[in-house]
Amino acid sequence: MAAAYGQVPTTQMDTKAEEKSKKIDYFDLPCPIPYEEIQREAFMSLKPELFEGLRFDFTKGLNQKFALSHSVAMGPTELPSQSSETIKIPTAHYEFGANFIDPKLMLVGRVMTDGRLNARLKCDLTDKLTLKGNAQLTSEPHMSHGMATFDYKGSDYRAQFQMGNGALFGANYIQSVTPHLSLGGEVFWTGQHHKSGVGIATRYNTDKMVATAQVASTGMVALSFVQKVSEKVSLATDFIYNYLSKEVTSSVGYDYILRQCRLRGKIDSNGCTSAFLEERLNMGLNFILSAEIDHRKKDYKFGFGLTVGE
Amino acid sequence: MADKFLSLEKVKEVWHTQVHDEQNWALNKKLLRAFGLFVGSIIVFRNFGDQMARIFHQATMMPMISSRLSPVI
Repeated sequence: MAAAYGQVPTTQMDTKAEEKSKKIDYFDLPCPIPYEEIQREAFMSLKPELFEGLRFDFTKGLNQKFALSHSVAMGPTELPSQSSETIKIPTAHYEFGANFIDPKLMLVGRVMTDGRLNARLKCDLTDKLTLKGNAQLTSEPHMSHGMATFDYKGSDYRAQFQMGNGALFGANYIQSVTPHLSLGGEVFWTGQHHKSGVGIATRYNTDKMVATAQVASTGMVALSFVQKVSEKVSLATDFIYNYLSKEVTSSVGYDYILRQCRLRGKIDSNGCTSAFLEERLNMGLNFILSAEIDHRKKDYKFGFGLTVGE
Repeated sequence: MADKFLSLEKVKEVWHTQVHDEQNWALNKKLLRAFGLFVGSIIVFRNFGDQMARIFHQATMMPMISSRLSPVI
């Protein structure tokens, strides 16, 4: 009866509402991922912290913001060699650390038995401006490094400026172009080595997948694709090619999160397979297993460890 | 006759330098293998990703690491 009196049928109203929602508001785009994290999904799935030997990490929280950590690592360390053979020397080290984590300030420090100090700082100066710093200090001359980074977060863009010792300067910018697509570029200049470079990157992400591409004048071409099958399962692949050094690698991997553990594995085009398992034995107690087998170089690495605390 | 941008001689020349040259072909073979793995993986993920996750989930639901390690420690 209502339709007979000229009222628009319900189905047409639904269609118009759908059309309106589909129109993109280019002045209301989401803020993109930081430029250096453009491949973070692929990185998390394909590049776990593989290690060889024994690893033990203990973190003790003294209060809600401050924690101390003790780490012991024992195992062979690979030395760079010009021949195809792998040279390893057995090493063992202890690392003492302190963390201060506040919503607006984060300070992390690590000191090792050989005198090396690593320090990281992250401070939210304002809601949109963040200062980050990191430093590695050693007793060896000319081997200490430091870098400061300023991040500015806009409504639909991010900008970053970096400066480090050795007259290192860098900047990058990334902009959301559509709700799913963002484009960015970077430039860096090192005064000490008289080198400079530029790069561009693009990222396309939906609820189900993330695809990225990056090209730099240093010769690097990097493509990645991550399929988020579910909240617990991700399948990832990447392709990295350096047209200056003529090296190319492609990897395929998975990231599977179970109730009590997280399992990541991958295989690459150079004949190297790896797996990393983190098993939660109890609250605050994790058991980790790492394995990496390089069939081509006949290099086999296995590691196990425990992490106690958060 | 004006030289065309893409002539048969140029195609043959590129083919000889990229395929018949040993050094270039070694690199091109690695490049094709890696790129093929990348593209093939994307096709498999998009078409069979759900099935792969289901099979993996069923395999890990069998008595595995999580039930074996916990009683030991």
